Amino acid sequence: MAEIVFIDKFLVRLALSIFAALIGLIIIGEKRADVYVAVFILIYFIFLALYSPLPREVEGKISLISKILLTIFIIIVAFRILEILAPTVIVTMLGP
Amino acid sequence: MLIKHTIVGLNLLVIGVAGSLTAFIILNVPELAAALAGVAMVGAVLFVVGWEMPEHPIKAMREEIEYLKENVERLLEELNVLDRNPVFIPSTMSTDGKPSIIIPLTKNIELESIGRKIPERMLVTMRNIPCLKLKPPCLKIIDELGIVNVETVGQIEDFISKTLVQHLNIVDSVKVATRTDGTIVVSLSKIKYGFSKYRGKIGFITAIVGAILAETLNRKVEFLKVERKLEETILFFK
Repeated sequence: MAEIVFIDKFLVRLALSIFAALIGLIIIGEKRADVYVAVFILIYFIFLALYSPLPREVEGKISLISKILLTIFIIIVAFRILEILAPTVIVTMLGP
Repeated sequence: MLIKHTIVGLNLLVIGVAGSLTAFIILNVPELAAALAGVAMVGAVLFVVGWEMPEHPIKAMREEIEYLKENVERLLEELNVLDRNPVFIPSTMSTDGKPSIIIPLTKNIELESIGRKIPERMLVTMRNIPCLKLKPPCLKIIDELGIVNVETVGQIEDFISKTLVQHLNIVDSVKVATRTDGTIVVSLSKIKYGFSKYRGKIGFITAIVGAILAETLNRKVEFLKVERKLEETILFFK
């Protein structure tokens, strides 16, 4: 029972923080969707670290979500770096 | 499976993924796409939690606890040890490598007289004094938190708080202080869960706090008394 309360706290606070970040980014006029997603992923990992260890039953599947989100984050960051170092490659990849 | 979590999670995931793709590709509104991507993220976590967490039959669990508690209490009463001061032993002083609770069966044992590793038995003798060796609760949480020998009272407070507030969610806050005579005072504010009456000295919370204190201080810790002031419960250890 306590584990459910604990995981519910994690979920509620994660959702509230993502919402707060969304509002914050909208207020500052951010238009790039990848920035939003990168910030959300960072928030997810911060909360995961704060609330670990999560109950053993969910740990395995949560790590699968973490791997997917980490991959998305790496792709976003890689594109940003590539945009600075070799902008022509991005143009070639994304087409005309 | 927690059915409500699973259904809500799946709904959020589907709405989030479909909505964010629509908002990004067709509507071309990045803010809306991002908001729905966030919804999908929370939905995915909620779905996984709901899918993987087992549902607990709470009524049966309560009945089982009451049944076990009643019988243990009666057994301790027969042994005439309900009012004895328990001594908490750290994992380093036990052969099984886990913290334990020692209750002397004949008289209150002196802390100094325990000097060797205690064997993994329920009945042990120390200087010819027969004692009960009990296992404290929440050993898994203590293990998972990696509770080790610490130096400051703040670190002890942090460990107790993580266990009682964050993991078990049974008290509002925890404060730990030490007095000049070496007494450790642990104040617990607003115990949330109405534990059924236990007549002995080592209640559920006392046992957890005592075990954590013994682990963090890496020495024997004796429970002295408990005081209750309004919504606050104060535990004294030495």
